[in-house]
Amino acid sequence: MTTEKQYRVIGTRPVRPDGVDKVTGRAVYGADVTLPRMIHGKILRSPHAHARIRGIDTREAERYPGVLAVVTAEDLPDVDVVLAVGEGGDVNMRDASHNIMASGKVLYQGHAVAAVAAVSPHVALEALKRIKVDYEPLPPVLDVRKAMAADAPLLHEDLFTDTMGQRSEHPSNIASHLIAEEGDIEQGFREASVVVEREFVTHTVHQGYIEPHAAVAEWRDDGQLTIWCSTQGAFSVREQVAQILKHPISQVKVVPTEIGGGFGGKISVYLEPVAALLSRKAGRPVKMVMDRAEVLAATGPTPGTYMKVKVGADAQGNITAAHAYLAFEAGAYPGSPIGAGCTTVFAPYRLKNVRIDGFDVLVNKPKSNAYRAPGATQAEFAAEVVMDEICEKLGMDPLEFRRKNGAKEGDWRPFGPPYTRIGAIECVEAAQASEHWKTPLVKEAGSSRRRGRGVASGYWMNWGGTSSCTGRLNPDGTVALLEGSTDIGGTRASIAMQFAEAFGIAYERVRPQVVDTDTVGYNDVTGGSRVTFGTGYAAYALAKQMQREIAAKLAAIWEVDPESVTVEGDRYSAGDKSVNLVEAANLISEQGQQVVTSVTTTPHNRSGAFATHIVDVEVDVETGKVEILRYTAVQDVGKAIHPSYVEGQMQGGVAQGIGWALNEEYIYDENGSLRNASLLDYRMPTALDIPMIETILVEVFNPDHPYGVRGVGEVPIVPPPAAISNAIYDAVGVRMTTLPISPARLCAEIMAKNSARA
Amino acid sequence: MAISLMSGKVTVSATVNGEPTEWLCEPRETLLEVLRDRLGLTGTKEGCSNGNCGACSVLLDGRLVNSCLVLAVETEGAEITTVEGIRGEKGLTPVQRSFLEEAALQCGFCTPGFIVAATALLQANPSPTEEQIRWWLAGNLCRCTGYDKIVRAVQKAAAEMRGEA
Amino acid sequence: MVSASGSTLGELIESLDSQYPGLKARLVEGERLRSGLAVFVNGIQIPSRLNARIAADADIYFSPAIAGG
Repeated sequence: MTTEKQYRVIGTRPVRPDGVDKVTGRAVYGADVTLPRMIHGKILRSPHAHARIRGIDTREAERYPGVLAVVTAEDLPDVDVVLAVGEGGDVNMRDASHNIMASGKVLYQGHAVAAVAAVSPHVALEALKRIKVDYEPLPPVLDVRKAMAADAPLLHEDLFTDTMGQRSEHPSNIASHLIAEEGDIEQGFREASVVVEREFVTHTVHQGYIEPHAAVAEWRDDGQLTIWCSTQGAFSVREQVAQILKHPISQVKVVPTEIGGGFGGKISVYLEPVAALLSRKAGRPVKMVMDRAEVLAATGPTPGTYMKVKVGADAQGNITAAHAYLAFEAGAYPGSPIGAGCTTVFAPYRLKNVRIDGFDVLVNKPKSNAYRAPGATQAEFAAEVVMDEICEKLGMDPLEFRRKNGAKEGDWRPFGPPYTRIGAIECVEAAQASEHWKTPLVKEAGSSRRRGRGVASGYWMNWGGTSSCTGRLNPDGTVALLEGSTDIGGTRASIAMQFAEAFGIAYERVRPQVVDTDTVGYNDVTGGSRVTFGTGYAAYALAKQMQREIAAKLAAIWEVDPESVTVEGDRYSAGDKSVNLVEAANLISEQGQQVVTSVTTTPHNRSGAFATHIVDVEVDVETGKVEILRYTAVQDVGKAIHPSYVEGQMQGGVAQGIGWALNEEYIYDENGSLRNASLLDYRMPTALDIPMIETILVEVFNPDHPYGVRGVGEVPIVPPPAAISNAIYDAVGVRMTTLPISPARLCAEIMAKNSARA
Repeated sequence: MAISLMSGKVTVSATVNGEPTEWLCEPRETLLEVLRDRLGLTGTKEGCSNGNCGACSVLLDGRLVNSCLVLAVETEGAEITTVEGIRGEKGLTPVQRSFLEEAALQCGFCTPGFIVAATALLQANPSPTEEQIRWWLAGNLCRCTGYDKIVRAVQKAAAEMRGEA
Repeated sequence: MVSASGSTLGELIESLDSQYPGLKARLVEGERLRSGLAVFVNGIQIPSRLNARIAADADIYFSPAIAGG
């Protein structure tokens, strides 16, 4: 199960290399970049959720004192390419272009229609008021089920439904219908002694990173374009900007700044191409920073959904059949994470008879984007609440049910090859053995308070992706390690630790840096829980390659066969010759040589990460307020390189999941206007809203990585909403099937139950 | 405070991180804008600009405030401390050091605000309970950590400052 | 699970299409695999190209490409 290997560096908890800058305010984030002669850009946004643009008159804004450039969609070239962005997700760049600057129609409130660059942000905002846009309002469609209706207003007249490669006859808001099937569900449901079917609704939520989007662009007269921005993937920004502007990729350089959170929302570009166009027109560097309302209304939140899940089980508690119907709101353009929703919905279970229908549906809301385990939290919320009800009807312990039906190596999964070595069952067993589970909960807590306990499991797949690293051996035997994976949560440390382990030196002797797109080889985005796995894999490969190069250079100096040089820790030996790394570095540099090594790796990662969570809640039956009393997250992490950072990922994911479960939602009026575009009204958890979060790290070695690492960042957001809904049921006996479980919604259900009983 | 009739700008004098400082700004500019854009103190962050996230926390005459909700012209004669002004005798303060050792930051964007807020807390109350720490820090949003390690870091710093560690 | 023959992905799809007419149209667009389609050979994702070589007795999965955060 766990590896028996003893490591020097892996498993320790050193301070991160970028830490001091981050506690002293010295670290430079997107909005902190300043260039000589820099001016400021701002965006005019649509007040309508759906409207035709009859015309845009920018003349008065152009004449406004202090304005240096104005752009609209007319300044963008026509593009028609599909680009793989992020974790194998494909984005039509024409849609991306129209999303950053509306062309012909606006499709959501907040959709960009024009931009101004001026000597100060205040002047730019004044100038925006002087742009006249002639709109012809159209009826918006905001609900996924209404958008699927045959008579719904169409967002795009040229969009047809793709059903597993087959195109619909008529245009539709349904961009695609995915189907995954195995066995015979009709037969499976006939074999069941209990069947539970429920409908679920979840609302749009935002990643909620504290740093708003920011970019600075400088377009020089020779066509060289440099962009400084806060992004999950500098190379992806380079590619997207080059495609959207039809500018040679060789002339685009992206310098990633520190990033103040992303969670999937800082992969697509919004500001970068606009800042570049403004800079080209103005002949000056342009900085653009969103305010919080723009972040909420006009970036890429994660979809609201309508879901229906039906599960059957026999009297012994074996699942006999499962069916999921998942309809996700893509927003204004196709591309919700419906594929991931289908893949993950029943992932923790071994299923023989299953059918999953997934729909990607357009509505007049911002184009949705990835958010930590995108699509999985919604889908597994639905499935895990139904599983809880099956257990209730069977009178079965919910963890025992999950252990009994748990997926393992070789089992079928939708849309992919069978599972490799996974730790789904090990997580359930660790949860069963936990202090939390073994400690009984006192359910009565005063006259108006009831307590309950709930559990849920979750899954998120892993991804390898392409990573490049460059290493340079310094004369003192230390190593400068250049990476291209933006560090959102401590990956400089987790990558340097893997390098140090493989290279046989101390962690402190590796100095990692995240550098720009001209300075290191290609790297896929920091997303899909991949960096500690994928870039760690590259760092491991780099260490081994550098050892070989050092050995080869020493062999030449010593005039021996390179094969005869052995490496033990930081010591290189051949026959009676033996040097440590510092001596080797000196010998090599005396010859006028250097060790500067680059590697690019694309490891496959067939594994995934499972989690099982336990939560105790206290419900105030009079107000509907839910308090989280105790929380334990169990997760298969493969191998924890830096255990504190792994725990931090789990705790952070749980906190986001708690916010999604209890508070967070986009509230639109009937015209499609977002009514809560501030952090006062879009209520994310504060320190006072959640308790300490206990973590249990299960380590089931991942055979696709030299140290057994699994991606850990995403799965912890998945179980909380279902676990909390199940705990609320245990406390007060109502099944909450709509997220968030706000006090008003819960109160209404409790009152309905009480009046039904009366 | 002097108002220039030509530009509509105002001259403001205050003490920033211990240094007498003078700047010219428009009356509509917030303290946050002046700190970041006029004084180059970009450690103070803008997360929401309406007082909900705490990323712009600074000390104004020793009191914890959101600098996005203070007009710069209001700070005439005041003493302002930003994250850049929080320094120990030997470099990092116990709060800063324990944030690093306890892994109390991930992206680090909210961290300056938390460092300022936690420093103010431990000045006001050297022995806060977990509940008191959570109450005091409820004005600072962190989206990465789930607060667990932040609360532990503040507890550890408090113990060290009391001479217990 | 179905069986088909071919030494490249393109040939394999042709073979599948002769068993299940219309399948090719669902997987291929012009001279390329449809965008948004991932291909796994013996559990490992390969570049989605029609000229990709396929070893004998390989297990092939076609799946929608999944995006992550």
